[in-house]
Amino acid sequence: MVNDLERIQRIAKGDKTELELLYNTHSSIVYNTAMNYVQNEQDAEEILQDVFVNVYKNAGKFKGNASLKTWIYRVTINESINYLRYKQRKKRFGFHIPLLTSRDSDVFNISEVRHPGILLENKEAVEYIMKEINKLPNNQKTAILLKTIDGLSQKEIAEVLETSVKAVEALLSRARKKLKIKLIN
Amino acid sequence: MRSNYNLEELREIRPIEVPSFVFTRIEAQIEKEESLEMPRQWAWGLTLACSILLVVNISFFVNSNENSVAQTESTSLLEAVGLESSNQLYYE
Repeated sequence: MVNDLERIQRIAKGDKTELELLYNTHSSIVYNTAMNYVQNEQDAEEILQDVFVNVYKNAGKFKGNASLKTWIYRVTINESINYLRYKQRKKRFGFHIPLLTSRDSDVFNISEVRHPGILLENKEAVEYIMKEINKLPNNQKTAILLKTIDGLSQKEIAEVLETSVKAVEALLSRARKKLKIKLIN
Repeated sequence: MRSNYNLEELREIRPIEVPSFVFTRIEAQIEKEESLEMPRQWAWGLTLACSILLVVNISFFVNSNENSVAQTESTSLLEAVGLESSNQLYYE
């Protein structure tokens, strides 16, 4: 049985069979996380593709400090943010584009929630909540999505965001506070 | 329209199936990017050529500066003893 580090080391050496095995075990996590983040099937599919291309190219950078799952979550979140930034920049082309913005404070304008995983009976509620979550800064949005939908622990979220558990606690509390005002009228 | 929403309702979102044939596209993209990459020998050759060009430019610049310094020194010496530094014999 090949462990995660060995698998990644083999991928770093160019083993595409190992990459396919990794894809088979982790593509669902990547696709659904990207889907929750960008709320659009086509975009999520592109992100899925980019994540595994990046995993193949940057496999040598994985040192095994975090688990493979959290590393893949991190790559997925980063790719989703990059994708949304790229889309936003394309929309704003020709206008003023701030170059020195922090990734954490970015708020992306997602016009429509098109998530096929949302059931019809609570479509209205979930779409409303998602729209409010989209208004949160990136790091708060990431923390709340990973906690509520993916069910990650605060320690795992801290590893994904490369921060401390205390910082994650603060992010979640700030996000919940903001959402509470918006969701309870 | 409802006025109260609960964050816990997000747990009702169902995981969706990954579309098929994405891995084939990933493989194709990797192959495409690998074929576009410059061979290592080419990269080294280009770096070497650029460094040689840079060294030649720097040495040329340093030499030209030294020449101009030497020239001004000889000109000032000639002027001090009252000689002409130019080859012009007739002032037209």
